[in-house]
Amino acid sequence: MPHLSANMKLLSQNRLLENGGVGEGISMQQTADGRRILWLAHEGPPANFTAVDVTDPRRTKVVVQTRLPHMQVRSNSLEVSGNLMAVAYQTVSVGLQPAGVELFDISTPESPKSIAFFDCSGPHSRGVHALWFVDGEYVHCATGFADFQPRNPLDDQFYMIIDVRNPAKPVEAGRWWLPGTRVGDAEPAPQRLSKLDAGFRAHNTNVYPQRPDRAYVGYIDGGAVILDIADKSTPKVVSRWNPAPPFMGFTHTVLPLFSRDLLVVSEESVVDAAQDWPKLTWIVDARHEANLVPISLCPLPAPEEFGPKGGRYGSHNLHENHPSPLAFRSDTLIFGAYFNGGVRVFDIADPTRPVEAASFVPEPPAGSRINAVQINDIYVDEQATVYAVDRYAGGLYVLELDI
Amino acid sequence: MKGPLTCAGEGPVLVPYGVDRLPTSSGWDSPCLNLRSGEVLRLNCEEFDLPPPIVGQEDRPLDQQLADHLKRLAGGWDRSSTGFIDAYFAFLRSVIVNHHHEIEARFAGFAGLFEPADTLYSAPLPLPRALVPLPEDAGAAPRWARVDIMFWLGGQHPCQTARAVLFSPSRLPPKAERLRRESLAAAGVNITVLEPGAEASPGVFEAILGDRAHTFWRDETLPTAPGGPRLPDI
Repeated sequence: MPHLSANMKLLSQNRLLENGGVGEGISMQQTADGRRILWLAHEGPPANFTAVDVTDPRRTKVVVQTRLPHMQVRSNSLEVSGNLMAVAYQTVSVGLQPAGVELFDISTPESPKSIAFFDCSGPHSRGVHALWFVDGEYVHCATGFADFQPRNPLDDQFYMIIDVRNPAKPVEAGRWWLPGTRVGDAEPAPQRLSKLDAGFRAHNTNVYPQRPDRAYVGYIDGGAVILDIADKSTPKVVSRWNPAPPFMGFTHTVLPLFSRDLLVVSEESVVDAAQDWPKLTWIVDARHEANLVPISLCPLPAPEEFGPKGGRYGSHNLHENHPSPLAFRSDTLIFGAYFNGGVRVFDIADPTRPVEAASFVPEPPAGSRINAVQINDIYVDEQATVYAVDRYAGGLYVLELDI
Repeated sequence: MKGPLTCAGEGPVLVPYGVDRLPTSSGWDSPCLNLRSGEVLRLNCEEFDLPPPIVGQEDRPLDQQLADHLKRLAGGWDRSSTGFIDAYFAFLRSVIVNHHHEIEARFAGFAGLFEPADTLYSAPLPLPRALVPLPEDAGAAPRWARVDIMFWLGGQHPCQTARAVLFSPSRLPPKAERLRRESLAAAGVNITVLEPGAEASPGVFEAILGDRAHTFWRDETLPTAPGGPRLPDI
């Protein structure tokens, strides 16, 4: 039974062969034989990624689970486009390998075949933290690289575009970093946040077919950035919005709602017990994309309610309206992962007054190092079935929405 | 108030518009229209209030004032509705251009009193955020289904005359969207679902309006502008 729920119910849970710590990569594939396979990137070693057959969401089955080459690397992020999958690799410290992006042919999910590896390792690089790959042509990612030395070690990952139109030979197509963060920049270094310095580096880097000339980038303490990538070799800033300071920083995801000229901007809570509260989900007016205006916040329960429950509490990942026939797309319903706050669904039909429409907070998963669930990421398929994952042990929760 | 759409064809149907839902409190003054079978709801509908132009925009052409008002009625942060309204007005203008000589010939005897562009206001009115009344069970409270855009085309029976345009992605949650479509279908409302950008596709307005898409300009004997002073009820 769930700990708390409203307008959602649990269809099934899969603990992923007791490797139930899942990161920030959830992506759906439809196979030639009609199966629906959900690919999950694990949060940390030893597991790399796992494929789960979710054709029957009430009876999900692990199809394959792979392992990382050693314990100093994590995948954390992946995306599927057709039968091609891109997986991120980030090492625990700079200078290690493998660090970069690996491309797999997943035509036969049971036997993913490595096609190529794009190396992002280097003396100042940990590799790739998060990637976005939806058009089968370009991987957009947050990465370090051999030729990038940050002024501050926390600023070690920037936005890179990788051309994978020939998946056997990926090549860099372009990059952008916050001016002032790289050694040799003419611009001054950015002012650090005094309360919690998480760094000025890229996190989610989203590009959509509705606007292929735009990248929507969460740049952690650098805020939300919209880039003009019409010329991928030289991305240019269209606008930047940053609520920090005085807010707590760590802008994570910038989700454009194209039919409404809105953005949903989520932050990430990174400290236990809500000590970095508030970590928020903003609704931002983007009718003039060069002048972004925050207009409301998704209402979250008070930190006094969830902060003491264990682990982190606050905003994190959103369902990102993937441009796939296998993904739910709505410019009104926002699905978010809120760590021990569980899954929360917001109706922003009136964007000045978001209301919570549904929620689900699982019981603390057995075997977790934290006595609370830590919902880390979320994906909603085209039938509005919700897939949510726990950061440490609970694995995959499959939920049915009742609104 | 005559509530739900029926197939009886009698009495007007009250349709609120420009709102997402009916207010729960009393003292509500939302705009409404009484729609009748056999009568097309047109852009020059006398009951459809067109506010005076914004100060400083008194010289803005009337058709653009009307389009602006319709877009305001669609509510904020709705690119789908504003794009549809803009595309619709562009379509109407193109129809008038294509039939320019025929329309001129119709007005030849009026010594320049009318211009072909005046016939635009005879076209059907795209009513934003219309609350379509639904068939109700005896004794039950009235029910409404909000549609993004509604056209009323004057069939003999109300259940054969309402055309609803819904934009994708829907503004409603999945279950509510399913119930809406089922309710509208049960009420006999013709539904067109438009994906983003579809309003620019050839044939989209013909699919919604049928023959009237290209013949609206000859529906009325003489053109009438919207926003005229309303005669008092006697």
